[in-house]
Amino acid sequence: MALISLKGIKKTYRLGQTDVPALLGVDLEIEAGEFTVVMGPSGSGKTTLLNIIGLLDRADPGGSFKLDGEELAGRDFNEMASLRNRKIGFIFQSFNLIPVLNVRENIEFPCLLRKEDRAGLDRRVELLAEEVGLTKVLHHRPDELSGGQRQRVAIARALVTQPEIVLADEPTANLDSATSEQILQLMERLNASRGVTFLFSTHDPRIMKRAKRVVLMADGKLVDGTAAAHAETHASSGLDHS
Amino acid sequence: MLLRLAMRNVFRARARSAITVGALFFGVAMSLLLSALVMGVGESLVAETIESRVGAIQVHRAGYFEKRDRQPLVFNIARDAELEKKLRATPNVKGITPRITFSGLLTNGSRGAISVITAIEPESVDAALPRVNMYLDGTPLLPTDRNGAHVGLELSRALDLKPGVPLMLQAQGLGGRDNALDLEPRGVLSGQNPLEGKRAVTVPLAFAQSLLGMEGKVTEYVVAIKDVEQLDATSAALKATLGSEYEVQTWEELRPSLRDMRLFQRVILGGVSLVFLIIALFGVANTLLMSVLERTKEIGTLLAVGMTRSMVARLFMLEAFLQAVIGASAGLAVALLVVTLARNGGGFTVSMGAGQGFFKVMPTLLPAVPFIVVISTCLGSVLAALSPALRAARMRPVEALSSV
Repeated sequence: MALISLKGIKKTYRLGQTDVPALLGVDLEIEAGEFTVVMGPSGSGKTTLLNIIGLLDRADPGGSFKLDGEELAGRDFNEMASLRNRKIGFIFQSFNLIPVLNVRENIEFPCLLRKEDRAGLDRRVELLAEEVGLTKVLHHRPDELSGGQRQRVAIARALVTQPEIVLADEPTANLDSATSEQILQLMERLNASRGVTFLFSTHDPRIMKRAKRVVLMADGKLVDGTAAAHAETHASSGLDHS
Repeated sequence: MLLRLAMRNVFRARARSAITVGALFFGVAMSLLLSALVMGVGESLVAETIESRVGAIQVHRAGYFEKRDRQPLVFNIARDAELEKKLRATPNVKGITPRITFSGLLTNGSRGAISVITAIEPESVDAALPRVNMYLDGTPLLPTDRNGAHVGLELSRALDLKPGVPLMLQAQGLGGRDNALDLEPRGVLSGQNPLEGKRAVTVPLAFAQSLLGMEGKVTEYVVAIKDVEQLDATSAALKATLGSEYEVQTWEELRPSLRDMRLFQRVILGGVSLVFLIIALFGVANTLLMSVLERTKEIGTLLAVGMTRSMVARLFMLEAFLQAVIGASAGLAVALLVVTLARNGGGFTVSMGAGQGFFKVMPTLLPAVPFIVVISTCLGSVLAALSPALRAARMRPVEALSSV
């Protein structure tokens, strides 16, 4: 059974009097443990697709969205919040850390939202911090960290709840090349060692090189949703002009 | 966790929080200080009424009040040890003193003025009217004093009162016969209000009884009570004890204008305090709305990692509540300090006008007032935060996250 199963997912935004279609019926399945990249030009629907998979936005009625076999269409806001907290981790382009919390507090924050017992949490946060290389800065505030360190905090925060899937929207866009490389290696290692499923939306060819599977999008549709491919192949497809 | 986050957010934009907290501080401090001053005026007037002139309760012969203007002396009470024992034995009664009040003509030989005379018993007056001499400029009437007099400030001026120059008091006695006796001024009642200062005279009870042919008789007993909150209960107990032969009146019944003025003061004070509070709460709502707009992306992050709408709303309301607690506590502390210092310093003296005496005001904070002001400020802040908090809570995560 696929971890994520989308069938006929559509999304239309309304801008004033105009309906703007963003997704035109997407079918996609993602298996547990995949390291998948969604690629496509700007406006192709990548971010919309990630937002729907991340339960940050709702698809239009009619399609089917299953997470771990559970149909999610029609869930209310609080149920979606709970699912986001339990099953989905997010890594954002601009890190999105809580500025008034230190590194440890930022990492443990999603667990505290669900009132998780501190005893096991402290140890898990420390192990995770060690794994992503943040042990020495656990008590620092985000504004005292470099961009790479901030993204490591975001990765640790995404993983601390032991989610089914981590969604990363342009995770290297605000990082320099060397830091991007380190962050990608880290996510690759976590995918391999922990079996965490990663789904990226990106323009970054370095991510494509590492992807086990690349999903191409254009004009709100999946161009190729199944083929495992290497970055070179897709880079030469001309779909990504960045 | 929410509390920790809210606390840190309060101290995050320090300048903005300082403005909000400052507005709440100012609102609470001003409300309390204004309350202390206004209540002080009211309570000082009441205290003066209860302790220096009217007394907490007065007991008269039945019918006195209806006919006191025409035949005040007819409704007299024969002094009776049994009656006085009953009065003293009533629960909450602290002390009693007999008096005669009547009117007469006070003259200095060449000029005269109609006066309202209160005859007091120097031996017992302090037990019922402990501040009877608070505005006296002169020497108190002593038990041995047979013909001393205290004269109101304006009246003393009108009669050109001078030490050692005798006065004469003429009045109609109990049987309707006129009588006149000499008085010696012992002092001036400088703190009386201007109207009373034009007519008030205080003489010894024995002098009045002799003048009016009322030996062994008085027109009233003034009753002091221990707990002023038990005024009505004590009045009811006295009525029950004394029966229908006597009338029992509280100071509120004797001075309804003072009671009404005090109520009016409280209504005005409540209105002014409400205005202060509303101004401060507009500040809270405004700064919180700015905060919500500035932190839109952060709200998106909170929602993304699993915060529910109600938690987001509670976070912002908690921030408003914390600001209110800080501002209100500081305002309360400053107000209490100022009031305590003012009370320790003896209060304020308010002049009644050029040459018309003075009035002492002791700032007074009734115990309930700080609670009401602080709690209404905190609750009001939470209510003021409701709209911005709901605005934050209703954000769609995807839109909040995409904000700049």
